[in-house]
Amino acid sequence: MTPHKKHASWPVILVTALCAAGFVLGGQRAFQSKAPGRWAAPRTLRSVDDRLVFRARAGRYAPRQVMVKFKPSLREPLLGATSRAYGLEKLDRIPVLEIYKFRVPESLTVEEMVQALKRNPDVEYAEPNYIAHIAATPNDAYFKSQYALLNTGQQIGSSGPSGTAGHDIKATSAWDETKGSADVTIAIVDTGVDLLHPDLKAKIKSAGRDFVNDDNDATDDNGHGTMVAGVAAADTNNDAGIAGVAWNCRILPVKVIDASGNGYYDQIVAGIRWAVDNGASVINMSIGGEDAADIMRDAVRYAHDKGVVVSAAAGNNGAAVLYPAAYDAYVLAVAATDYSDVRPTWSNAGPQVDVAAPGVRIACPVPTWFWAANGGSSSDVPYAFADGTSMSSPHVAGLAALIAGLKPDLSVDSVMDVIRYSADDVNSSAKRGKDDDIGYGRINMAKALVPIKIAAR
Amino acid sequence: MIESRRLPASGIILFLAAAAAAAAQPRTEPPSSGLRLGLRVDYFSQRVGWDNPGGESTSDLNSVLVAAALQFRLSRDSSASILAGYGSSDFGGLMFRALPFSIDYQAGGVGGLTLGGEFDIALATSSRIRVSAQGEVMAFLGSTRKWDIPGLAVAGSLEGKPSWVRARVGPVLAFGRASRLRPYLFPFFHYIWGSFEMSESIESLSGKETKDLRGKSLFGVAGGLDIPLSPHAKIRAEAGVYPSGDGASYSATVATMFSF
Repeated sequence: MTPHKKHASWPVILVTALCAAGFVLGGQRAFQSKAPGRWAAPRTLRSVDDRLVFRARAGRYAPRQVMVKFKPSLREPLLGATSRAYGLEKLDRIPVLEIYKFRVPESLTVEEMVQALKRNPDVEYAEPNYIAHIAATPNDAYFKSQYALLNTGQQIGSSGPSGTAGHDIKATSAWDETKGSADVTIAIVDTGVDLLHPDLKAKIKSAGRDFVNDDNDATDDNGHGTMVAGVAAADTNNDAGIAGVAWNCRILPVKVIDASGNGYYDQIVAGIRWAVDNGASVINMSIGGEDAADIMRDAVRYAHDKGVVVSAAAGNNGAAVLYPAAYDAYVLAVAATDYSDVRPTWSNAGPQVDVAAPGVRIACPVPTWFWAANGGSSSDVPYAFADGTSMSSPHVAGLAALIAGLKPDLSVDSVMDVIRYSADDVNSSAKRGKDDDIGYGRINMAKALVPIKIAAR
Repeated sequence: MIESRRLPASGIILFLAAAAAAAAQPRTEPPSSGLRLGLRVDYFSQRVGWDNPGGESTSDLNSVLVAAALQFRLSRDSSASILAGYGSSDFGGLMFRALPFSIDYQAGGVGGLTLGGEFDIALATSSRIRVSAQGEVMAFLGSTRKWDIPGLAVAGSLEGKPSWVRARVGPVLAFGRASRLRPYLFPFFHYIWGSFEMSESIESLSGKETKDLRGKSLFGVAGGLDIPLSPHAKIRAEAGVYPSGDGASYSATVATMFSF
């Protein structure tokens, strides 16, 4: 196995722009798929170069502090006597709201003091002095460019546009609930994966299977599968590269598309079957064809019946939803949105679209040989910005993997429904409810994963 | 929710006190039958544990129960009672992680039917002390409560249904004569177990999860006072404490009993 095994030319890739300043200076490179029936190619590809600061996480609440609100009927000096009876030392008082901050005696834990105070009928409420924090934020170098995961309205790359704050899939909030399970594997049925990529090699379950060349080495000779794999499950919080949606899940490369970006349906069907039988919990298919075929339907039905969630790209030519995404009962069809939750016109539409996910200017890894083979140099960092529903689908696949890890007893249909029903209807002002453009809406990881609080009415 | 129920509970206590005061008018005739009718109000806060992914979690089960009691005299100094009434139980802090959409339950109390039985069998009696065996079983059958699930792309709802059984048994040491204030001490073995069934329904998506609850303490002690108001009426006030590994739980009972 070598990383450059099937390193090939790019007959179907149209390089639309190449910055003379080179990759690391933020130059733009682009390629496109020119025909359907193959991988749902990224529409454009650009370099990334921003870096960001690690943010450490603190504890849940301040040590030895409780916040107490007494009932209005309790006034000084009874209030002081009550707090002294508990051994509390007054630290502060928030006026108007009449909330007191006390220091807890060393003989009791904060939890014990809170429980004791809650039993006092003169106490309206008592709770620890909780610490708010920016939700789980990985330290990956290009995380700042991943507006899809956390959109602060930041500029996306050194020369890119700025997004709209909050228009993201709420990944950081969801990661507080789960970062995924290593027992969950996402099969990338695509052009293969760069097995030695620094942001992927620790996540790859095996060398996979190559149905194009009929061997057990699914090394990527195109680049597309590597990008997709990174979006779904790049090595995260490793101080380098990008963050994947599913931090701890594994990647299973399955090569069914050749170096030029084309793959026969029989290869794809064989790849799906192989992925299902080799431990995949989720299959991402950022590939598609315009032709319906019973063999493709049977393959995704086989995956579905075996409890494997299939996420597939809707397509990038502004036409009908491609297959296998269009097999509605068995596959989540994923459309694209951008950094302001707007659907790009090239994102395919139809009643089969289930959800949307960011698919414009998505930071992703590319094979380590990629830039040298495409006008750059071998020293260029192996990351890029890409567009397309190919980039949208692995966001959904990553979310499916997180759900599968957190709730292993859920059926495949339930996982699909959780993803659908937790989506944000971001185009509701124009098309309320489920529509052909973005289905139920742009996925929302926090809604899907973070427990819903049912409070007293 | 428990807080909001303090007002009716206070009203019941006042009613009991007024009834007791009325019954406290001087009377000399002995009870004419073996039946007694009473009303009791129970409050308890009980530490309970329940299984959760990643280990056992704990929360407090807070309950307020109001029940009518019908007491049968089994012998001169022994009795049995049946109880029926209404109550509210707050299972605050339960987490349902196996539902398609995880739920943190913080919705306060759920009302329901309370049924129970109690016995008190004298073991030894003298003019100064009475030793008896006392046992009690109370069951709470919560009614089904519904909530809407907020924030989803489609409408969804939850249905919750709690239930529990609480039993305690132990010796009662009562001091003094029955015709006067009689303090007593009741060390007991007790256990509480139950479940909270939560169902989720969101269009084609549905799920059900049941949390089995177990009490975190096995032994407790209660101290009380029987206050005879007349030959036909008495009031009982009792407070109990239930030590457990992570603190203590408490209970309080006020009851009145009228004989015919």
